[in-house]
Amino acid sequence: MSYPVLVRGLTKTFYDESRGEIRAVDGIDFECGEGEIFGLLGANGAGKTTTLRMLSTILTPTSGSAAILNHDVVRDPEGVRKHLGFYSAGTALYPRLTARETIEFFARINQYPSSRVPERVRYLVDRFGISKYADVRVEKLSTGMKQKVSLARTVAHDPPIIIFDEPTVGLDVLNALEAQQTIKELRDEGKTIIFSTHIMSEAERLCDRIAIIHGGRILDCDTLAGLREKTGKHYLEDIFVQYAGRPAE
Amino acid sequence: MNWGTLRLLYIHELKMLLRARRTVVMSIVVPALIMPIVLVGSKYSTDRRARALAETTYRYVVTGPEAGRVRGLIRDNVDGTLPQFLPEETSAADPARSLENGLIHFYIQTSRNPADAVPVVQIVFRGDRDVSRNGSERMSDLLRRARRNQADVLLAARGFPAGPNQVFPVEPESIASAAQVTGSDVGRFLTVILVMLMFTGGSIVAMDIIAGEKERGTLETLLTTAAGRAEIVTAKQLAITSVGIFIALIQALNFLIYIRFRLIELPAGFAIELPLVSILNLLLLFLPLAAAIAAVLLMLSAYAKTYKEAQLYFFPVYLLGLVPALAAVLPGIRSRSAIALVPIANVSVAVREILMGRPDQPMIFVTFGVMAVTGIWLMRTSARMLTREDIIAPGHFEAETLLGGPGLFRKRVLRWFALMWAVIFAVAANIPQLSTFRAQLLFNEVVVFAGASLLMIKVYRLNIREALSLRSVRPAVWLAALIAIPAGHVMSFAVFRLVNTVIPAPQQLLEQFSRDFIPKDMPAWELYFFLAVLPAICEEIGFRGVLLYGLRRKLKPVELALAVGLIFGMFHITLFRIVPTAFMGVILTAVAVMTGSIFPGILIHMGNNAFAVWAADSGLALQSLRWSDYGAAALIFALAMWIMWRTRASSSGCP
Amino acid sequence: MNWKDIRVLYVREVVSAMRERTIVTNSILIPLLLYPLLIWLMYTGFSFVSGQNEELTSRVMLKNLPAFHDALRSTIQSEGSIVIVAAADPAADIRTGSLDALIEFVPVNDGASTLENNFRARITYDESRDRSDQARGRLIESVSKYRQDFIERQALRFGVSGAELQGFLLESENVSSGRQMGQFVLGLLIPILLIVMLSVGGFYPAIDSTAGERENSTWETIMSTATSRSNVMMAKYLYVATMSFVAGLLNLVAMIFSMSSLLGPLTRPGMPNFTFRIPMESVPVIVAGAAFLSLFIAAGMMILASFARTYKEGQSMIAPFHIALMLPVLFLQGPGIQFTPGLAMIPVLNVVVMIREAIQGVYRWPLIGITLAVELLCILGALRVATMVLRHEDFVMGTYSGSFGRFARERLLGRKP
Repeated sequence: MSYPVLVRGLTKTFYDESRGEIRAVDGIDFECGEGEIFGLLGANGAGKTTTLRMLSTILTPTSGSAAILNHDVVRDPEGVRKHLGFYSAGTALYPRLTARETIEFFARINQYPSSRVPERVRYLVDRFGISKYADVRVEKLSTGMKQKVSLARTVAHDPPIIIFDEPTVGLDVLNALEAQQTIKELRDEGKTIIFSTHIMSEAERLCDRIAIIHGGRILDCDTLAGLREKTGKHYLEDIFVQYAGRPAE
Repeated sequence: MNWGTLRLLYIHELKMLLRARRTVVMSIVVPALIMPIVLVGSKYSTDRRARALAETTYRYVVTGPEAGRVRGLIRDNVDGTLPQFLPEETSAADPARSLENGLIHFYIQTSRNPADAVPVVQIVFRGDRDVSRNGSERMSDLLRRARRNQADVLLAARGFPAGPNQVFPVEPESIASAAQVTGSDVGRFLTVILVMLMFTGGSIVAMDIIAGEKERGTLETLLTTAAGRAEIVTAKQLAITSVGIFIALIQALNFLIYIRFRLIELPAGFAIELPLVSILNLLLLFLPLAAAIAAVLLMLSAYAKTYKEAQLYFFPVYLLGLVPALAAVLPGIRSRSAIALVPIANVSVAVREILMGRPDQPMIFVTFGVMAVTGIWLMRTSARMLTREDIIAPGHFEAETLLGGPGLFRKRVLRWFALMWAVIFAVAANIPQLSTFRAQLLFNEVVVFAGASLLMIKVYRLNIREALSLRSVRPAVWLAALIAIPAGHVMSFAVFRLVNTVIPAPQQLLEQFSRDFIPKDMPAWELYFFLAVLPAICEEIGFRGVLLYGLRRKLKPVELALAVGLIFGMFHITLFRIVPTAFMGVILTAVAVMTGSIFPGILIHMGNNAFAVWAADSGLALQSLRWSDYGAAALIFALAMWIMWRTRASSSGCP
Repeated sequence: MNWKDIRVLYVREVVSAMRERTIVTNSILIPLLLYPLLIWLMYTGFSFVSGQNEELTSRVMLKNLPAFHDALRSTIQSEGSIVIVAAADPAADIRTGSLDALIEFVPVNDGASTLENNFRARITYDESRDRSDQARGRLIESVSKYRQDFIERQALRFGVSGAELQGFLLESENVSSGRQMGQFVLGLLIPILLIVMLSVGGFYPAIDSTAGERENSTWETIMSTATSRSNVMMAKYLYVATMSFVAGLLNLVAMIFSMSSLLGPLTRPGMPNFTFRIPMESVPVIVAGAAFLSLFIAAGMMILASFARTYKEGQSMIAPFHIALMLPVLFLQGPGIQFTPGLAMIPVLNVVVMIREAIQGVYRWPLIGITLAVELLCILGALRVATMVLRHEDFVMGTYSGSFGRFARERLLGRKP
């Protein structure tokens, strides 16, 4: 069967004059099915962000391939980005645009059919509950409000695949829960979601399948139940330590 | 290129800018307020100075045998002829001392040489004092006028048939229209002013447009959208260009207002005449100029990681951009010369020709082409910089800064050489003890080239064998090097002649160079030591040793030879020596890369310089050679290079 | 004031400044590299042009030269830079630039003068071409030289000797040495450049040590240490003053060095040989002036910058101060300005004039005293304002949207928005 997201042998090396090659991502394979939340679980510096940046075509892979809905990230980066929503702590909002303008701008720039843009913006403003401050400039919004706008702009063009790179970093409990709720709802709408985190509880609660990534490699990839069975541990934290504690060969 | 996306992005950029209130205020309101203040102030200041000079009573002393006559002349001519000049004679025992102490402004010394019938009147003043210089100039004018009046009176009294002014009157008549003269004057500075306005106007958006986005994290957001990088860069470029042009227009409008309110006085006979063709031609030049400047600014912004960093680069780039724009100020320069290939400078020269009503149409197209290519190249570079990974994913840098050693050396080597260049440039003229032949060579070669190289080796803990490529080579290489010496020298002379056809060297400068620099009475052995042995060893250590080692991993062999050669050329300061020495530098670098050793290069360098000294000494005229001779030299040289290529070292990095 | 604390804080500021690229580049690398580079570029441009212009002789056509005045031809030619050519259509050739000037001789018989063989010379040229304009100048010079000789010869016939006609030789002698001339030029340039450089030198450190710290969130860290707020600010202030001072002097030295590199080889024989050297005796005055000014500039900049929350805000806060500093200096700096007691009372400008006089070798100690006293008062005044500002703790939090103006309105004048 064909997967919406298909990654094969994806590798990224950074070259450093004094230290030589650093393999940030080292030949990883995975695939995600439609309507699935796929979790990348790893410590800081494990290679999660680099992987997701390659998927979103911000970085070019050194070798290997990745395809989003059969669009290759190297050969057809624009095709990839058109079908992709990318959300991370690094993707900030334009402070001097209003919330509504932000959503509209990203819908248009991502080539959402322009006749349907106003309708889409209205829908998203309702959907994320930002109608009260839709015409306030983003720079004046609080963190929680900004996060909602940010989520809305990620899905502005109704992409079938959405990447969340550590979406709850820096959010308080309530906002984090709301973000998780949104992700679930998006999955229920049939979106394919790739999700990276280093927070175990989040992965436990959300992910249909979890890939444990460490030192640039995927050590294992399975459903939570499958991982529990393989390791004999119940809590994801223990499962993770068992994998990551093993020296990478 | 997706035009819809481009349009959307462009409007987005402009909207962002307009909403930044502070930026708008700083870029439009503040200059509009400051300019009139500056203009009023400088007008006030010049007026005040003129008034002060006019109201000053100039104290002076007259001495010598002709004092009485000079006094009479001054008395008779001071009124009416030069209004507002108030001289007042005083007395002083020692005029020189009085002048020194500022008691008088100048003194007039008269003397009569018995051998000559004409007495001498000398006005002695202090050029470093404003009032003294001014007073002496006025007194000089007065006396000259007095002398002429006296001669007129004398000639008329003796019955000379014409006043001196009626003899051979000269009537200059210019065929240039007032508009052409104005165009010639305005054309000198128009491009500089435009470049200034474009740079400052454009910088307001440019600094923020990529660097600011990087800092705020919105660049990553933008890069994950379906817009292509080409579209993003083009939209940003267009935004900078249009804001730059807009601000330049506003400032131009301000100027018109200042002229209207007489804050700026137009010179008499000012007339501007611009037919449609000229306007089109100007647009043809100014649009790519504006676009190229915007592209420079964009590149700065793309290169910088933060807003602050972008600003830091702005000032030097701005100054460097102004220098070529000044080309039209130089007298006698025409666009039909090598200048047409220098971006910005070519526009400056061509614009002046257009304003003079004498456009050189083919050269205007050449200029347009050069500017367009420059602009496109800059834009592509900016687009490529957006994909630079260390910008998006920092964190993999500066480890070598902590560790030091060769890794850091590779990052710093160019900085060291820039510093060495500045030292060589600035030292000779400032320290008189070092400006003699021997001292200057010793300083440059031993202290700067060899000394700094060894210092670098020590500071960065480099392996001296590797850094200086101290390796032995096969005998065949030595043979090839020996063959290469005379052939290489003849070829570099050919390069010099070729360059001279494009950039002619002023003969005076060349002669002065050889005359002033090399002492006449120097023994031959010393001459050979200072000009051949010393430079060969020290410069090879510096350039083919340390510099080559530092750049080796960054560049491919061909780029390496070109880069090291060019830097080597730049160290020879004078324009006419840069290309031929850079040519030698490329050859020497190629030899070092092929043989993997510094020694053959030292031999060639030494031989080449010794050959030059010998040729100058024995009067061998290389310029009398025919081009076929140069061809033969090239063949011999190619043979030498081929031998080295065949026996190249495995470690050389050559394929 | 706890000077031990201040010292510790000050050293930290300086150390981190030396590791900050913006500051190092602006205050050290730019002067060391940029000035020589610019001067070199100008020098290269100059030699390029002199190469291009070398064979730029004036091509001139003579028309209807009376046979009697054939000597004029040799007078013209004796000037090596004029070549006499012939053209079929001189006016057209002048227009296209292949001929530089036409000199046409018309006999004069107008009765006003009865001089025999008199002529009128009409020069046709193109004023908008540099080369043609130059040809005109050369021709006028040749004709006037010829006229002079001619009148002298003719005058003899009327019993006027050459000596009588000439009357006297007029000479001008500048008794200032090349060094004094150099000092004169430096005196005009250096003080202004010094102020610009002091201000630029303080600019980045002032923003970096305040807004920069807020951006890095180290502001609260440092404010929560066991030393008082005023100690922290004092250390920062001294650091900004140091940076401004160092940058100003470094720039000055680099500029003087590169200037003499360029102007040295360009001065021709016959021209006064300018030597660009500052007299040693003036160094203490320059240094004192620079030190006082940098203390004043630093105080002004710190007051404004300490409100800024981001680098950009800091910039737009300080820029007006920077401009305000430059303006009076820019338009009161003509060579004619006198150092009077009145002028010595005007801050900043008095230092400009004081340094100028010192470079030119004039020391008027009472005025220097007044100048330094006035500067000192300004510094104390600025510090007084600073302590007033420091009392308000909301300043520490970076309220008032980074604006001193808003602080002054809302807090000092008590007007709520």
